[in-house]
Amino acid sequence: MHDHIRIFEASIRGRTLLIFIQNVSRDWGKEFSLVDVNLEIKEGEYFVLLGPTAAGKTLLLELIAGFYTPDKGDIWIDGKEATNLPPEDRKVGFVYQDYALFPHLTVKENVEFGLNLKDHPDVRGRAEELLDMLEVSYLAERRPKTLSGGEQQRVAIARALAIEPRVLLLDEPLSALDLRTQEKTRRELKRVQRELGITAIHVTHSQPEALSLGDRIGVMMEGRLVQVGPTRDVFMRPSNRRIADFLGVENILSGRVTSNQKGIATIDLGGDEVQVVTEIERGDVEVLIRPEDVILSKDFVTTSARNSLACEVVEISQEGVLNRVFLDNDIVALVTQRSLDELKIRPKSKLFATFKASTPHIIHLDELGTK
Amino acid sequence: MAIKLKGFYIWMGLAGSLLLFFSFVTIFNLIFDQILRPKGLLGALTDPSVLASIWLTIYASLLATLIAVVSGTPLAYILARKNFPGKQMVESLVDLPIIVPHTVAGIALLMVFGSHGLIGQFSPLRFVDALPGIVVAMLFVSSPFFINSAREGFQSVDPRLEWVARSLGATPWCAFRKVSLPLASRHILIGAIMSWARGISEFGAVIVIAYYPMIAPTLIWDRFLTTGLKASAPISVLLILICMTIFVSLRLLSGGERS
Repeated sequence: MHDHIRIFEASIRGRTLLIFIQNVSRDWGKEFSLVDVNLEIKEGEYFVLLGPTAAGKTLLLELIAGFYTPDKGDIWIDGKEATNLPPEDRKVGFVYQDYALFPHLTVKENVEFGLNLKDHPDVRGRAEELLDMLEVSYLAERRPKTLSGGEQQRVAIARALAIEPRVLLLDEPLSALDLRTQEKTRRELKRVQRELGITAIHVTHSQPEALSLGDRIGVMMEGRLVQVGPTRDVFMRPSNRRIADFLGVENILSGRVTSNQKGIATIDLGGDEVQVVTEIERGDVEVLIRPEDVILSKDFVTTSARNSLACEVVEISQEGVLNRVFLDNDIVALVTQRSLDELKIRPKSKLFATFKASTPHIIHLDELGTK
Repeated sequence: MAIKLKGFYIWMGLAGSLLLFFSFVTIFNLIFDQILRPKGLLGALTDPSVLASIWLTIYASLLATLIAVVSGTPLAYILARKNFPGKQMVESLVDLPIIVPHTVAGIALLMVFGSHGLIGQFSPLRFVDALPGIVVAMLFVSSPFFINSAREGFQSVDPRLEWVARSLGATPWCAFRKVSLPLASRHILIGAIMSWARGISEFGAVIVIAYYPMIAPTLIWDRFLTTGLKASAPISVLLILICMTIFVSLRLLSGGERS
């Protein structure tokens, strides 16, 4: 007990640690339990909790918010032991997956809810400010039911920010949105978080979401936090096979968009040039390719809308019916035993790695600021 | 619409209209009979004892409903939100008045609230043949209607709305008042209307504990026994008309709040 108080006080002096979770367990039936979760979250960071459904991610958020209490372990928020503190005393903003706006109140009244309870000196002004920041002022008098998913989400964020929370908890905030809105909202989330310098914990099951938003990520599986680290590190070096399988993306190539013609960008990967379908016009990007989307061949593939890169095999590892082929340009391909035999792939074989222009996922680094 | 389905709905409709027709004929035959010969109705309207009994019925049932709302709302909330050992027992207890014959309810009430009853013997308030007796009888039979409706209302409110309210700084009491209560208000109002209506229509339990002062159903029974159909039918119609006016307007009002 005394030990972690000391650690915590030390870190508070350094103004770094905001949330400190120690040995937290909560038994809640087979599917939704938490087992021995330890987690430290620094002030101002965007932390993403990534994991498959029913991994306990939402439950962990709800424990931090104080909606439930852990069976074991303790939770510290902002230098105070908060394990048994009621939610109203935690200053934690919560945004649920389906936003949970108060249906009987207008958008403005939703945002004013927390301000009124706090006796804020300028309830109306502050609410307007927040709605402005999230670009939803025009909805002020509407009821939540009449709003689109994206609009509801902005309102829910504005409502949570109204209480000037120490930490913003976001439970799958993008999953109910269509793809286009998702991308826009993703940028928006990061912008708001950066502007306010607020600490955010974001729960998701989507790998691209974690990659594009997280300063650090924690991977959760079956109620355990199985790996925590800077986002890129976790994706590049999953600590075991199950995590690797879940993360899926092993090919993360850095590059720069040099031109874009009608939605097809040319990306310079530092030597090789590839064509990828994206709206991004310019700037540094990361190109994510799933290993199963990489096709290996002896000859250069000339079909349009495909990229063929010359490379050499470094290593082959067999995994059941599939083989993971590591290439010298940092690309990993997943191929069947049959194609391995047909192509006579061995270490040092000279090959071409091919992928469609439409398969990679692109992360635009410039618009995400400091990443 | 598919032809087969059309036939299906016609048959279902025909079978259903049998029941509708039965209720309609029974009620409206009585009403039209009196309206066509308005002498009896006018007589009832000018009879102070009739008006007093109708007013007493409405007023006593309103009191019973108020008690049901004050105590039943928290009970409904707990039943909607919490699981606890013996919850099923509590739920059965809530529904019990629906299945108990109402004369039995009256006798049971008499044994509690009568002048030698469990509570009655200590109570400064007189229940037998008095307004409090009418109110407890009405409360007993009407409370399940209120509690069940209010519980449904609270069940329809996502508990996460309360959690969010808490995270925004609301105490449990404040979250209840500002979020759950307004969102369940329609169900609560409908429950109150149902319970009020049920109270007004009660006869069996009331006459056992309080034959006097006469509520309208008692008066109707009394006139039927002493003077016959001619005297009791106009009062019945008057009661029906007054109640229908109240309930239809309340239903419209509560329906209007839905949007």
